[in-house]
Amino acid sequence: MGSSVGIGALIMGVTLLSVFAIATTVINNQAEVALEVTNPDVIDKPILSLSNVGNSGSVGSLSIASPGFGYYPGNLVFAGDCNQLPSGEYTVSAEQWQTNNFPDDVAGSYDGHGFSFVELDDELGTVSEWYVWYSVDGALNDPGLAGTGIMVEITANDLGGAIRDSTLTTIALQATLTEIDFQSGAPADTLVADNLNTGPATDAATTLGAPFNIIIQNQGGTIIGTSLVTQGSGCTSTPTITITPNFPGGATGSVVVNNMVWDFTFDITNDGDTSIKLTEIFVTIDGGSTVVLSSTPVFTVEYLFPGEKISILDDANSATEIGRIAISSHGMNIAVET
Amino acid sequence: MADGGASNMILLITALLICGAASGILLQSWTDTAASVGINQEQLALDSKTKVTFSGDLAKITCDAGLNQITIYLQNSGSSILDETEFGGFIDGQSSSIVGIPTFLNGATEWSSGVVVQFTLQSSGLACDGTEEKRVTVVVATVPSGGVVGSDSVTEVVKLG
Repeated sequence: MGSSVGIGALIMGVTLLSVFAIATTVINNQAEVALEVTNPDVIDKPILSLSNVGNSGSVGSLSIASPGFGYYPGNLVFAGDCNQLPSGEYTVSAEQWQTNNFPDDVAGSYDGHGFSFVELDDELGTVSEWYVWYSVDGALNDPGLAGTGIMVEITANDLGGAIRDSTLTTIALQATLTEIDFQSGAPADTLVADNLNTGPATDAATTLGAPFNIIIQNQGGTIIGTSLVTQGSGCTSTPTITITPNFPGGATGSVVVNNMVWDFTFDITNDGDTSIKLTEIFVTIDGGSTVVLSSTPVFTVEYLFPGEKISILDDANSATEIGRIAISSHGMNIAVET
Repeated sequence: MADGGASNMILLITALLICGAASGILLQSWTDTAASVGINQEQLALDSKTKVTFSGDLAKITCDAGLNQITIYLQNSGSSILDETEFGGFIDGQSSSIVGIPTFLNGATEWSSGVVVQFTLQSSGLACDGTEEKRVTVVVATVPSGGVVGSDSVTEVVKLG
C-alpha cells in the first residue's frame, strides 16, 4: 500500500513538474514577444531636410534669330549667371556672283568696258580691289576703275564664249588673285565667281554700258551657322549672346539660345539621430517617376550620418527647370517647390 | 482483514489509474496550449517586424485619367521580407485592382528591407486634375516564416497629379 501511494505521488509530482516546465517556457516566450512588440524590429522614420534647391543649366543648342548682314565670322560671347559661361562661334556666308551670258563682240563693243570686284584676302577684313577691262584690237582704253586692273585683249567680233574664256585665262594669270574661284558657267557663256573666304564684300559691278551684266549676287556676311564650343555649366538662367566678329562690322544679326538643358541641385541634411542608408532614400522630381537617390559624381559613401549634409547634382539634362522636388524614406515624405 | 486489504488495493489501483489519466490529459492540454500560444507569439513577433511605408511624392501621385490608374511606391520599412504578390490596395475605401507586375526599384529582386516597389492601382472616376485628394490604403503580407505570415497596412491621403 505504501509503495502504491509513493507511485501515485511520483506520477503527480512528475506531471506537475512537466506542466511547470511547459508553463515556464510559454511565459518565457511571451516575455520575449512582448519585448519584440514593445521594441519592434522596424526602421524608424528618419528626419531629413531639403535645402538649396535649384537648377544648374547648360546650353543645349543655339539658333539664328536673325542672320543680319555684313558680318565677318567670329565668336559668340555669352553673358549670364553661370559657374562657367558657355562659348561658341558662328560662320557667315561667302560672297558669290555670276554674270549673264557673254555676248559676241560687235565692232569693238567690249572696248573700254569691264567689271570690278572685291577679293577677301582673309576673314579679318583685308580686301583687294580688282577690275577686269577689255582692250579690243589693242585700243587700250582702260576705264581706270578703283583697284588693280586686269586687261583682257580680244579681237573685234570675237564670239562671246571666246571672250569669256579669255577673261578666265587672263584672271588665272594674276598671281595674287588667289582667294576667288572663277569658273565658267556651263552650258551658257557665263562667268561664276566664288569668294573662298567668308564675309562681306562690295558687290561686283560692270561698267556703264557694258555688253554684259552681273545677274546673280549672293551676299557674303550673313550668319549661316553656329556652333557651341562649350556648353557652360551652373547657369541659373538662360544666358544672352553677343555676336563678336573677328573684324568689326555687321548689323541686325541675332543668335539666341535655342534650348537649355537643366540639371537639378539640392542639399539633404540628416536632422535625426540615426544614420540613413543613401540607397533607401528616394527622389521624385516634378511628380515624375520615383527613383533612388543618386548624384554626379556618384556617392563614395553609403550612409548619411546624423548632422551630415550632402549636395546632390542630378545630371538630368532636362528641357525644363525644376518645379518641385520630393524625397522619401521609410515613411518620411518631404518636398520643396522652387 | 483479507477483505479489507483487497478493497484497499482496488481503491489504490483505481486511484493510480485516475491519477495517470488526469496527468496525461493535463500534459496534453498544456502541450496544446503551449503550441497554440507559440503560434500566436510567432505571429505577433512577425507582425512586429513588418512595416510598409509610402514612398514618392504624396502631393503629386502619377495619375492617368484615361486609364483610371495611379502609380504608388511602397517601401519595406520592416525587417521581414514582404511578398509583392500578396498585396491589397484601396482608394477611398474601394478595393482597387493591381495593374501589371509590381516593379522593384534600384535593381532589387525581392522586397527586402529598404526596397521600394512600384504598384499601379486601377480604380474608377479619377480626375487626375492636380487637386484631387484620395485616401489610399495598402495591405501587405510577408513571405511565410515558420508557418505564419506577418502583415501590415498603411493609409495616406495623397494628391493625384
